[in-house]
Amino acid sequence: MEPNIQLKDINLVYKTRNGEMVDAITNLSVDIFPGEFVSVVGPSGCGKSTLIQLIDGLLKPTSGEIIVNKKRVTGPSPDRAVVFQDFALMPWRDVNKNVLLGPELRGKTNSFKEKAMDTIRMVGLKNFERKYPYQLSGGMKQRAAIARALTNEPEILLMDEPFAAVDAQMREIMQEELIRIWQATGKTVVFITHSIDEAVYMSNRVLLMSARPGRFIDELKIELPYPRTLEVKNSQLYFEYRTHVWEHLKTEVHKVYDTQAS
Amino acid sequence: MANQQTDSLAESRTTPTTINKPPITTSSRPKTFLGRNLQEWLPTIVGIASILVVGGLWELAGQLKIIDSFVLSWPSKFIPELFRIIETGQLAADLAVSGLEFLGGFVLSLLGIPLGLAIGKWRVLEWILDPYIAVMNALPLVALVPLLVVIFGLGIASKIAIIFLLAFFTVVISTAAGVKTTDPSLIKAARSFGGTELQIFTKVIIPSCVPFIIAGLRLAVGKALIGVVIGELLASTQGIGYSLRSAAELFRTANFFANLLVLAVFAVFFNWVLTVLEKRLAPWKD
Repeated sequence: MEPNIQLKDINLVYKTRNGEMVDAITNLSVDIFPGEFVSVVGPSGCGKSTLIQLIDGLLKPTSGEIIVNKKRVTGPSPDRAVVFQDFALMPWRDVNKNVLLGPELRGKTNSFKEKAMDTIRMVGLKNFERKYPYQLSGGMKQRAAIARALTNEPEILLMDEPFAAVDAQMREIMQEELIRIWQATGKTVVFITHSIDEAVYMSNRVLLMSARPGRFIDELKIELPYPRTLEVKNSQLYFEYRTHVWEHLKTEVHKVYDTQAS
Repeated sequence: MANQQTDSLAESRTTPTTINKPPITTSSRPKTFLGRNLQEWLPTIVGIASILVVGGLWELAGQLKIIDSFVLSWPSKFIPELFRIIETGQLAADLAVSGLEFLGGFVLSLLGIPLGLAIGKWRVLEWILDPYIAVMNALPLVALVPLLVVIFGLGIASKIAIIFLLAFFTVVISTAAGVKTTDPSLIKAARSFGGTELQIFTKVIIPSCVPFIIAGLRLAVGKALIGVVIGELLASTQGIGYSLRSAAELFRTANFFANLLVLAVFAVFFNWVLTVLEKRLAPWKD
């Protein structure tokens, strides 16, 4: 199978306010295949969110190439949609209008109205179409943000720590639902998280990122069957995957910890 | 088939989310008046009672000659006076003049909205205009009234000018601040969904400024009222400010307080209108 996302030798250098040059990402390469659920875990500040913005086209790499569906990425495009950590819903728009943001910006609101209704139902927000974000709980806001991304009919869903701002119990429900949606839609998902548990639980493949400057230090195929029931979660294999990821990540996390402590 | 399953799953999952609905009070619904229950009316009731008590004490102080009718007045004197100036048409004439000045200056100051948006959007424009805005904002602009009278005369135009100046810069500054505090993650989201710069401006930045614009307008109303009164106090032949001055000069304290009451009612009214407007246009705030 041909990969639908290819990152080739990506480097990203940015300038801080005091004029310092910082390497955010160095020599990062990866191929992601259609329909894959890939998680990226790494210590905080390693450039995980930057990676999402690079694939989306919100940021341009200093060097290297990002290819999505055989085309070089030069900016955002409807074949990719981001679910942001802080939801980024427009507070003056109700759920329905937020969900229709993508089509509206492309001047296609009318032909996507039914699609919007479908995705709103799919994420479990039926009857909340007319509610405004301030009337919703954190979990519901993130459902709305997922519906917004899905309504735009992307092939690739880029999720930037989508459940970080959702409480622990809601998070588990959202994880299950996301897997269900992913399986029902067949999208490629790139999922950023700092939770090893979440990464192992959700993904086909886990990419481990180093402390800054970020690059991939290891990858792990998770060969557990879906749906990942409690039984799967309690299995020896699941435990081993988690341990493996943590063992590999530990030194990187310590690096971050040491620089912060000093 | 698979789809139906996921749909029913989705629907069953909506159940826990209904916890966000307001508590339903069908079983023990409290008594309501004009859509609010008695508990919610309590602040209003206490407020009115407070006015009545203070007004009563004020009246008592007047009746007992504790306060001097030469320099102060009390309710039983200025309330009848209020009805008198309503009957004679003096109040209507004053309000027509002051109202026109207020409206003219305030409406013109709305030009501060597009200018504020432009300043917030284009940094170069901000750099160019910032020195003037900073000065105009810091300067007690009422100092310009004598000059404005020289330029525009004793009539309505000089008052419109001072009201405009007072209100305009307030609106500009609030609006520009609104543009700059637009949540960057909303801009990023719009860009990610393919929004052009123009779309980002019209669909993200402007709506997110609405609460700031309204806050600016509220301040502007206060400043515009100051402009009306100061302008008329200093140089005019008609209007509420003029009536206030002449009442004071002639020691007609009841007339003074009657006019003051009218002014207070209008100030509170405009503030209320803007509060309602804010709730309507920016319900997500507070």
